[in-house]
Amino acid sequence: MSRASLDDGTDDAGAALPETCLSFELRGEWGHFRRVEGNIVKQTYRIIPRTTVAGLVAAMLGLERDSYYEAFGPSASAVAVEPIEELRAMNVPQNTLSTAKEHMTTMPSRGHARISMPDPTELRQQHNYELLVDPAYRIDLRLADDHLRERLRARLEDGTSYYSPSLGLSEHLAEVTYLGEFDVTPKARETTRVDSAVVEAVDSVELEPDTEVNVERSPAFMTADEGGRTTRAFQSLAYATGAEPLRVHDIETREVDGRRVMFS
Amino acid sequence: MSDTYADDSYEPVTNRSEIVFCYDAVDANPNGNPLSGANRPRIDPETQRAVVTDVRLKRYLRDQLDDDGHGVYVRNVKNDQGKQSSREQLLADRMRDLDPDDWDLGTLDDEEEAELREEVFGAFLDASADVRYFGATMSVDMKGSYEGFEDYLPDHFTGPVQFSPAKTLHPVTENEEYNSLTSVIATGEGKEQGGFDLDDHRIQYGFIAFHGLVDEHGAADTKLSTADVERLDTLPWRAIKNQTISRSKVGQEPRLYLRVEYEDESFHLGGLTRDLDIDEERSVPADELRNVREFTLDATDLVSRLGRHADRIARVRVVASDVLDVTVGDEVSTAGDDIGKHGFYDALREAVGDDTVEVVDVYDEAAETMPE
Repeated sequence: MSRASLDDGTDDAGAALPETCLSFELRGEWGHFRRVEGNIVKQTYRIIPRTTVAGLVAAMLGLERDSYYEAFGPSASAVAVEPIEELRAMNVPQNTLSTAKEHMTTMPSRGHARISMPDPTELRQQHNYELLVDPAYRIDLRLADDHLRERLRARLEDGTSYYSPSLGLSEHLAEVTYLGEFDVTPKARETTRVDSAVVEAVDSVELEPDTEVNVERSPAFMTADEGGRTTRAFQSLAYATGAEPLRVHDIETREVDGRRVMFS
Repeated sequence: MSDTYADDSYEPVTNRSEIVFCYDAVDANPNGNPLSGANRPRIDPETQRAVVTDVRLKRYLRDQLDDDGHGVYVRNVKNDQGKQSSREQLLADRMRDLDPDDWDLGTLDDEEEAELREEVFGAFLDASADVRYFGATMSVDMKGSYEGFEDYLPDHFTGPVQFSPAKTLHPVTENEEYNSLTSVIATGEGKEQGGFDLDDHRIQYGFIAFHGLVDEHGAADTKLSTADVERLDTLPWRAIKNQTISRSKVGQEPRLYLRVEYEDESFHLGGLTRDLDIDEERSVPADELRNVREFTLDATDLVSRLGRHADRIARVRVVASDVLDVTVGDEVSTAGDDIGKHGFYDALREAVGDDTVEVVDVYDEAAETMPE
């Protein structure tokens, strides 16, 4: 994904990205954004994935599952995520019912119309969930779809949300605080400090003493298909675990509310 | 709002609620970590606060629902009276009765879709209180002449009632290990230490605050009714009273329950437990805390926040333990002379209005929410 492709205005939705973004703060006591490559240990991304931001906004708007991927596609939307608190995780193992086929009870046992549910009398499976502790992000969001954007603005201004927002898992209740609508000002390529997570420019990050930098590759875009949905693209994000800005060489950024951010 | 299920006999939830539920633990292990050596209490290594998962709370609530005689799907043990199988039987029977010729798929209107869902899942949900609250995972498998029915049936139930994992409001201290358990099963004469990994780990004191939410839009997906929500006003309280009876769970008592029912659709304040704190001035130092009498809750921020948004609050249902001291502003509220009176209730009334605050009479009201 090149930066330029996001702004060329020739997207599926047929509308250009606005020159402004809606900004809101997102925080909660817990978060869990399950890494797709995890198995028994449910590891979490540290930065809320772009696809999760899309899902959260869709929930706030009351959009149906699998109905909103185009509106959050690469040319119809742009998202910058800034961690605003230290990113820290702790292990919280849980006993859960297995949904593996052999542990499901199927009712009725024969026939062509059947429903399967986990057998609640089976022994629980133990999963080690890595949970984010007190995660907090600032999200800057540009949406090409005027109708969706206005609906979201109304929701944010009013402090309402159709479905209650959560951070990855439905039990990790989230708080959303509207910060306002801000101009998005493009900046020429330069070396600068970036407040948001650094998108697809890992090699350009200047490492500094006392700043721990991590990189993760998380889902960015999804598409609906027969079976529900498929991840269409991943992106690499670099961030400081202490939520400090990172110094990055020779990159294009945007200025939003006096900060430097990178949209994807 | 179109009905998700065709059942006129239940009253759908129309208001969102936000819940604060606090209980405390004296010399107990409020939630052991099954992957640690001796089921040690879960403690955040950085803040030293104890952590209790939503899964633990939901187990208490399910067990209380079960004891009260409400149907519960997710159970701990096989039940010899066949209660569990009867719930599975319900689904099996409905599926057997589902006649594909009765349904002209592709032309169903909203009402007919609701009837189909009611026919397949209605009785199951009516009989499974825990699924109405907390949801369930499932898969629907339709073949042959039933092809296409899956498009009209949910493939999971998302719980409209959610609780976040909880933390204590203060750092906790773990008790020294002791060996009362191992002595029972000593492996040989003269050996004090018998078993392995059987040390009993507890925290000395913890004041635990859960944050919960009732999503009025998710409620329709599981037939969560207004009566179900009102049952929450006595259920967690009684669950902690009645279900904390195992060796490591005794010593836990409910202390504060608050359900803020909002006036406006889709609105809730969020993060209400973050507005609670330990009143350090009026509590003994955290590492010396041993019981509720040494602890004072600071609810100043909570009460003032509710007060600022009083116009969006339909009612606040509240109950506080008579031995809990609560600071609001400059005043410390304690129980009044009468049962059912607590200075905290008055502070709430002052903030959100007399008529908005309803004190829950746990045991009287519980009787009203029992199954018929």
